[in-house]
Amino acid sequence: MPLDEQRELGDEALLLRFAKGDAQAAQLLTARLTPVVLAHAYRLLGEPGEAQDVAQETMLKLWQVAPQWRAGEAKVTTWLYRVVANACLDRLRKRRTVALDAVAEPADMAPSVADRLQDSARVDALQGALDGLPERQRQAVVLRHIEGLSNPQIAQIMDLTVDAVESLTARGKRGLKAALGARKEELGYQDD
Amino acid sequence: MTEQNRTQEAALEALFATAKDTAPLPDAALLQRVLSDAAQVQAGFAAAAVPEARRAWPERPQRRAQVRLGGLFEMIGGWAGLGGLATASAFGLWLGMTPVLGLGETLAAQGFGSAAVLDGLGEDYAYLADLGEN
Repeated sequence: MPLDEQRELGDEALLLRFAKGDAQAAQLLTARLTPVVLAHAYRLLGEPGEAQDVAQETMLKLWQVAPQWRAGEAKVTTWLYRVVANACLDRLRKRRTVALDAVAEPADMAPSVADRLQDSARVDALQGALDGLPERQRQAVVLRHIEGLSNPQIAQIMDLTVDAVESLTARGKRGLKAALGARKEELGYQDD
Repeated sequence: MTEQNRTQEAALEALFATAKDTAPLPDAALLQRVLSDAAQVQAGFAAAAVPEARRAWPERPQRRAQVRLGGLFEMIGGWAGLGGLATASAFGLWLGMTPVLGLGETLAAQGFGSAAVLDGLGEDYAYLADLGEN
């Protein structure tokens, strides 16, 4: 199949072609999904190096699962988000820098953030605040507000009810507001 | 929602939007590692393709019987084994029949004759038998 036509295929169709030995499908999936996986891993871990390792491990699992993939059961990206989250949670638990059920404390953001009122500084501040959230809240907030998934999709990924997802994202957002509220001027946000 | 809450909400939404736009991108080295893994895994599929195809057969009962016969066929060594088995069977059959025909001829040639010949001697047989014992 010509490359242009392959580009039109969905993730699942490409994965099935990959399982049948199509090397072009591997290239397209790599280009399409590695950024998604890496970004999500980074949001959950806050460490670029570790996020790269998780991204590679996750993509390897995708290649390995391809022959057993059951068409129509789940979206490839849903599966990937779940694998990334599991890998990240394992790493976070090993770090033990944040207690599992810790109350969302305001993140201890680097002083340098105050000196930079640029987009990257705002993103760093957000990442710092996300890192301060309990893991499940962070995962729910990232999936809902940064990855842009629906609550039912998140419920499937996190193996929760939709109500539980809503509760987690609400608590997560409260935690972020508390963490970032004190720094709104540094970040260039003013009260109206 | 209070004014302060609305402001906080708007600020947070703006941060989320910025974060979406500034997602970290994979560098060439990571993409290369991912592609290299893909090639390695895919090479494994090719090696496993034949057994996989055979395992996929027994989806229907009719196929399952064919697979069992196929297994027997493979167990005896395929077509070469089947040829050998046929030759051995034919030889065994010949061997089984040949001694019956050959033994009679051999016995006759050595003068043992048949029981009917001995029976035909009647009283002479008893006489000859007595001579043998004396």
